[in-house]
Amino acid sequence: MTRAALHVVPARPSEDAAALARVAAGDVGGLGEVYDRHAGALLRFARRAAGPADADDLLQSTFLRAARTAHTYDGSRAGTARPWLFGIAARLVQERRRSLARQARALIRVAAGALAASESPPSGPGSRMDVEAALATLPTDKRVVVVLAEIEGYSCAEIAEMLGIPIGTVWTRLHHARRALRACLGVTES
Amino acid sequence: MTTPRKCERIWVVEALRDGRVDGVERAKAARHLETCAECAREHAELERLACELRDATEHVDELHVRRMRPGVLHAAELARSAGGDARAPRARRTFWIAATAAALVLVVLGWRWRRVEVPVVATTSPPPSADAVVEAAQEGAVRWTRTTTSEAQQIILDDGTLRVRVRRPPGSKRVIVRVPDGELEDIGTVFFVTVVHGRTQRVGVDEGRVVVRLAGSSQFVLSAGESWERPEETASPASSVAHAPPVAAPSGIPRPVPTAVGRAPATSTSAAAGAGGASEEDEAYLRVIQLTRAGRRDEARAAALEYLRRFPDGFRREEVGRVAR
Repeated sequence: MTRAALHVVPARPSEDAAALARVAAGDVGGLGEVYDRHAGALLRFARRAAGPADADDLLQSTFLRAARTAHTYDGSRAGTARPWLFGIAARLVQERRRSLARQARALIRVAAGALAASESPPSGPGSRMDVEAALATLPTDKRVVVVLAEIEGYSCAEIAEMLGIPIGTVWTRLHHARRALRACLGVTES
Repeated sequence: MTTPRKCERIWVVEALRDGRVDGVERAKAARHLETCAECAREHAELERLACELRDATEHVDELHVRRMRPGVLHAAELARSAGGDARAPRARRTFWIAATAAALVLVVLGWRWRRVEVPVVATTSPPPSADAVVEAAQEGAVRWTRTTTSEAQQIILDDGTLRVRVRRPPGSKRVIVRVPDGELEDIGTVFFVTVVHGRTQRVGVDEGRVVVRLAGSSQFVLSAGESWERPEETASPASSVAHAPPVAAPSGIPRPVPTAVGRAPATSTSAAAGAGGASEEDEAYLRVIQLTRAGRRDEARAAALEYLRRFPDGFRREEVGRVAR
């Protein structure tokens, strides 16, 4: 059983490496090339991992940090720079630590939704909420992992490298995130 | 009625999905899924969860992404400049010693400039992978070349007069004119540049505004329609203005009032101190940018603090405030 590839990236890894090498040398034009190839995917991730309100800011912060740390990018590795960029974005999400306030708001919505559901005939196995609200209830570290794994399609090994954490930690966070989401979305659990 | 026992190997479903098993164990787990209804159901539910997450992901508006691009690159450029990037090429630092963020016009010493009716060789801009449109027209004998890098369009003027018109939409490449005794960067101006024997002689501005910074003197500002000419004697800027030989105003460029022409940089700055005019504010802001990009952090910070003191409600206060921190 294999997971279907969920993301397709332009197969031009050498161009990313060359562009980031120029950025490291002070040529911001190289950053523009990297932006053109990966900003869309990063913004999609940012909206799920950090929320729509913070996504644009996270996108810009990601590229600013990429410019500042371009000299650390290993251009000899296979693949494009997208995992490296996602790793920057994911770490920025965790650094910001905004999930507490957002979770509080989401929990209020969850409570309101559950109350409304309890007052109306249930249409399914249990009360449901939208995906965005469900993701917002997750702690930042778990939310980032499940978005990278289930929406962006990265393997657990890739996620571990992006976030700089042990792969066992990724497995654990992913397990707990799935359980929480299944409870929120009404997906039955064995 | 007893509760059905959960399959003891239910864990293999996530393990397979997350790559926790491989080799022989992976093959065994895959075979188990084919025979165990509960595990197969668990697998289906996890897949359904993943599908819900992916289906709910909105498509990114590519136009929105494109609109963000100039701001992101501009922020990266500012961050790099403010950080005094130690990895910047020496040529870049040398450039910013002589240039400002605004348009600089260099006129090199030589002859008294006059509008000569000569065939203008219009040169089209290089095909921009950027959006800047650069038109360079030479007057008479001129030695110059043009290059394009990933970051900027460059005009290298060795000798003679060039008329340069630049239109730079936001986010487009920089336009740099390199001359023997310095460099200048344009931000959308029509100006005349004359280089003779490696020195700037005259500045003439048709459109826009120009900050002129020459070796041995402080900067001063010329607006559209104004011109400045280097005197023949080496004198103080103030006296050089008073004794500047009369300049035949070329057609299309009205002769400015002498006191407004080539005013002594130091005195103009001091005279404008506290006046808070728009030109003085721009001048102060450009000074901050120039020092920042030259890597002169302490001076840049001092200039930023001076700007904030003089223009507490200045248009650039936020940007300058970051340098002042």
